[in-house]
Amino acid sequence: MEQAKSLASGIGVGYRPAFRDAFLGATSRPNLGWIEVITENFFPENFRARQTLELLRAEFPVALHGVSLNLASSDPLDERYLAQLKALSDEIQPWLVTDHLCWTGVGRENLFDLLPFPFTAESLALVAANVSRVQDLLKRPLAVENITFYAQPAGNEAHEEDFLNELCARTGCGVLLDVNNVFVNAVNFGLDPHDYFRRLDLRNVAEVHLAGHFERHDGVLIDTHGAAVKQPVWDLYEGLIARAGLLPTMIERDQNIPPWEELERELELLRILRGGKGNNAARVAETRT
Amino acid sequence: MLHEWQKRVRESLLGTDTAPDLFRAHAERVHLYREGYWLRVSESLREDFPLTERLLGRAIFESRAREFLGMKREYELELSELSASFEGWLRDRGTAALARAVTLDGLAIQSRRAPEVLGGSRFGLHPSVRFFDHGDRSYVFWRDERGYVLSERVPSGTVAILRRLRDPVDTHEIAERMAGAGQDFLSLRDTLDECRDAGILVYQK
Repeated sequence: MEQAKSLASGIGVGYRPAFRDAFLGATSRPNLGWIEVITENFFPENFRARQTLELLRAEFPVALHGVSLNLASSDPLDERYLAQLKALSDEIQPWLVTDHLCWTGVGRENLFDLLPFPFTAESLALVAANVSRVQDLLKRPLAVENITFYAQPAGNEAHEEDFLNELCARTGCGVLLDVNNVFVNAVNFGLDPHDYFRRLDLRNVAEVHLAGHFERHDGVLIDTHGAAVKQPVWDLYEGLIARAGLLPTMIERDQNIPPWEELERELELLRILRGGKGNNAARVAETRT
Repeated sequence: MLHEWQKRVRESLLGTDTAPDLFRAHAERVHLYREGYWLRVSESLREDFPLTERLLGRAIFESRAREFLGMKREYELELSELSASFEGWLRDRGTAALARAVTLDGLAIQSRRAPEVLGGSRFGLHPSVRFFDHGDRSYVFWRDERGYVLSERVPSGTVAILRRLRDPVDTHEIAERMAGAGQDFLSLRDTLDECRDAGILVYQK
């Protein structure tokens, strides 16, 4: 995982088609250490997207971020999916391949969502076997991302952080740490988000995600990726890098995608936060107002 | 145990099992997943079947979509595959007008996915060609140096270029125009007239 981290540094962003002109137009390229793309959008049948990816990877190190590996499903891994992932990974040579600590379907039914599961010895053995299988196939380490969840599965025997620590120890995989997800879960279940960073072995973190969320009328936070990063998440992120150092970090936006210039301003806040010592989150807050 | 738990969660999300024992904290929030599933799927289907939705109206379209989701038990890797299943399912259950709208939407979906290179220079001019069939009609989609082309193949060997496209997504535009004009979309004569009126290149082999 250290080797993977050394291939990319600094800050990145989740590439979306709306940013094509800003990334590949005639004017100067965004000042980014790397970009992340959604794996499934670049599978072979989507030839136009593949052409774009070829152009992007000539300009930036690329991370592949999947949503359909279905690592925690009791179904077998989907062989067709694995073949496509392998082909894409071999061709693109990403600096990192990631997916989620979740299941997305069972009984051959895709539920098109990132779903939680109970953290048990049984699920740990299953996920570890699946992660190992993927890593052996790709011949590179995988990093798995903590998800948001809105209801806690019955039968939980462990904290997610301990589950991830053990998964990394067994498989050598890494963690894609989504700070917004940590915050959203903490609020929704009345937890202290800082505890998460105290429990998680931060040496395993390969990449960090930052994103926005939405607060419902009943106070439940929903992980929408549809807004700018909120101040409490910036605060939490500052605490994280104070503990773990300047991990490769990106901002992702999947809904209400703003003009590139607006996202670039948010990236500038991230640069400020990473650029100095002291209460940089406060500086970010000042800059935003 | 995990398999049984996941199967029950699946049934719960699809609306047939509300068992609160599946979650130990905030089980009532399962509705967020249930709503999320439906929103994600229905938005995707509406996006892929705009003409069909217009023809049926939103309420009936959604009712059909729910019926389809309730009946299907095939595994779709992506939402795009779900659309392909929905297309066939709808066509089997509709009127001629509905079948036409579904076909138009299906064409638009297929052309968005057309691979860049399939086969050789089948027309002697074009470096990438794809053939595909809908009902008893046969179509050709290809890309040349000036962009993308969607056309119909007919037994005489004449090829009517339905539209020269900057981008495959524009096939939605063709479908909208043809349907809006109330034409039989796939009549060669109408197609030729349409092309001439619109100043679209017609290539005859």
